[in-house]
Amino acid sequence: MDNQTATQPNLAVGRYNYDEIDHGFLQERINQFRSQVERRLKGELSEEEFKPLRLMNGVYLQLHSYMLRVAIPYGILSSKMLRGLAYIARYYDRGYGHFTTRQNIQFHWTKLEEVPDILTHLASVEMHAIQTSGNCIRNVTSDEFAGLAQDELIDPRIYAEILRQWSTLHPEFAFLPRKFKIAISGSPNDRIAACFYDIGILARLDSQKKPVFEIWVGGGLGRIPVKGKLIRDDVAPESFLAYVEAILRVYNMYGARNNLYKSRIKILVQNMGIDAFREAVEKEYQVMDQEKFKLSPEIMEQINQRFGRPVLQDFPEATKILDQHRNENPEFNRWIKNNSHPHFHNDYFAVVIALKNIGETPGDITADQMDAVANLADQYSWGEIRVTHLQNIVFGHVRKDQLYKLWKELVKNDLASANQGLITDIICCPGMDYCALANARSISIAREIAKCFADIELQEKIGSIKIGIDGCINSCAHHHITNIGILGVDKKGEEFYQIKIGGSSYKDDAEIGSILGAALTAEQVIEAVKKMIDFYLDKREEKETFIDTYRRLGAAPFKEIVYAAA
Amino acid sequence: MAAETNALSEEKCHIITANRLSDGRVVWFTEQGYWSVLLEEAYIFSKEDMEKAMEQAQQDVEKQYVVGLYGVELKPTTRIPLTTRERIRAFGPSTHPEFNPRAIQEISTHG
Amino acid sequence: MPLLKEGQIITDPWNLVGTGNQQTISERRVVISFEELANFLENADPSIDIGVSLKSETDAELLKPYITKLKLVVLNFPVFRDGRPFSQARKLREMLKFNGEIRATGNVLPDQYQFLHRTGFSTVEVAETADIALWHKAFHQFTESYQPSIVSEVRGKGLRWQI
Repeated sequence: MDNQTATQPNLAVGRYNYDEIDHGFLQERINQFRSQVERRLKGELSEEEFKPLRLMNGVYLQLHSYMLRVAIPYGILSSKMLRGLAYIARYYDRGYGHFTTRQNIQFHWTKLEEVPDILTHLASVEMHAIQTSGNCIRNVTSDEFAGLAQDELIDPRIYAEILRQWSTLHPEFAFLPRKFKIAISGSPNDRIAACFYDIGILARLDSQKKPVFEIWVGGGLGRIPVKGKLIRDDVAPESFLAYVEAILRVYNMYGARNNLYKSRIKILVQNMGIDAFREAVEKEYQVMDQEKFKLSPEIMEQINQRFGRPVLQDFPEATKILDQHRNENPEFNRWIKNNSHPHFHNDYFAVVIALKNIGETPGDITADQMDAVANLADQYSWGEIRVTHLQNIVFGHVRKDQLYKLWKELVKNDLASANQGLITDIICCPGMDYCALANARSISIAREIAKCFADIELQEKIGSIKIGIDGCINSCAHHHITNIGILGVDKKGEEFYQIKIGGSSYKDDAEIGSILGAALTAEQVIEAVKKMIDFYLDKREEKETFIDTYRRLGAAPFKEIVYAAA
Repeated sequence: MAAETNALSEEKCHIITANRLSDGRVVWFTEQGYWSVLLEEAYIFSKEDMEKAMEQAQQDVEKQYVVGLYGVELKPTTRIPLTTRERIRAFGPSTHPEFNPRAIQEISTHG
Repeated sequence: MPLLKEGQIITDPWNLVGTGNQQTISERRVVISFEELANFLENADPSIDIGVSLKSETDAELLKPYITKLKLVVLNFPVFRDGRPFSQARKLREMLKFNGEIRATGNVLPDQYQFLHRTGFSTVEVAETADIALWHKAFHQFTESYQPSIVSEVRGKGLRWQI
């Protein structure tokens, strides 16, 4: 598809485009951070004082180096942004980046003294690292199929952008008791794990058929996994920002500050009870100056205008041509079957580019691959790239007849894994290979498990299943809410792994997994996964997925199979 | 080389580490009092000598040269840290053997 | 200790020497801790100016019965990471419509100066050793913001406000 044009050709598709004011603001932020780094290097700021300031700008001190976490607001990149990230990977890092489970990208080998220059480069492609860490409102995540999903009621990207802007250097909420994560979707069908966020927002139709937001609060993973509670299911879109502000104020005032493990909003909601918490929020909401927060049609339009949009054209032949290609090439057919997602426009598909090659690190992408993806996005998907909370990439709007050409290009670049949603599509944190918090490595476990199930036909036979592997209880890889969760634990300096089973991430059947038994060694945990899968294949009834069989049989037989003949 | 004057023994199995403030690299405290990116150059102390050595090393924290100072225990009579975590810090991520500091040969300088 | 208003050192009319339970009296001004406020007001000379100091864990709303009698509220940061005083100040301005001085004391960084200003603080007490130039610069660090505040700012396009 040559010469794709968007509504406003100079605007990047799918995301908010900065104007001069936004650029000016970002420059002021970089100046501030540059001076903070200088003050630190000169000793005018102590490490204790500097740490919260650098974290608030995404700079961690990890095992080997400083790590810079760059925000990808609501997961959407333009090809220009991705090329900017490739430049940073090449010239300031070691040639690659790592997509996280919160739609960020991390560079693991940056130098503190170079971070201000990296930020300057990021700003030139409208990116930043603001609030990607620290006890503040973090990068807002969204549905990777936003703006194209058939079930969408409200375009969540506009509201995610509003949350991004509003939370940026919010004067009152920059020093919260603990980190604060918000996810938003415009569909009733949860694809964002809304019940496991500090605030999770989904859309629904009210009795007048008007789209409204339902707001979940106090969910989270970590040491104490909690399913969030529904605080309101009828928040009008124009009022949602005021309501979120009221929630944050209650949390800032009453969230625990003397105990790290009790300081997340989930504990506050648990302790107060959702009814008392709701009452406190309503009280704030009633007295605040709601007019100032109201999202008038004028404000919405001013923000909306900064979003580029693709011009989708009817091409009635598209499906027929796609079907021909599928018939001719079984590998391509497999990729379409496993990696495509329906689009509201019948002549288009969204496709998942899985960063889950067998034996490689989930979510890692090299600078060369970034450039290749950027070029392909320009050719096939209006220069728009989405990164998912499952550490993959999505092209949002590919015309069906173009998919075969795209796939052949992806094959050339080693980016055509057809394993989306299958057992080797593993979610994995960086673990102890990089992370200062980790107790054990996670990447090596992910790679080994993937190797055990490398045969794609076997993967398809096993069917839909999600494995999450975490190097510590912080649970970046969601091991509590994946069907099989693996958690690294430390025993006197040696790595061990605990298994959780039965977790599920999304609203309708959201569930926290249960611990299977005593922690195992790395070799044992890989064997255990194999045994559980063999057992499931043996016991499954027609069309059952792993989680279905687990729910029918319970944990006991899985436990027996893993621990009996040790 | 520190290693020559610094014989391994059952008692001497403690070394001192930190991260360099400017670039975050893992560094090890040497006999001459500078910091090396190579664990091989770390000076090995007995448990009794550690307190004094840590005090000396702490001066470089105050000079804003390193951060996050602490002691690391080695497997007796080896130059291999006892814990997996410290082995990964010393030899690089297991996923990227090419990033072992010995392979990278970064220059260590004193602050 | 130096007292800053809008990035400049000003003379402190209250002449505070510390906060908390220590009651500091100049000729016609008294600053009292919140815990002692109710008792104090019962017998207070109505012509003197009264200020109150609040711990960060105290709900600012508790000042409601006394708010019209107060000229100053001192909010203390036990550590700069304790963000509660930002909400306290905001509540004093927005919920209790307090028009007097709100002063920040304790451990505050210059990097937080605009946050203080935009949540309703009027003054900040800084250490004797503080780099006043840095504080002055920090007060003018940002010229745009993305959220409304309780100080009067000029509304721009979208969510933006000119500081």
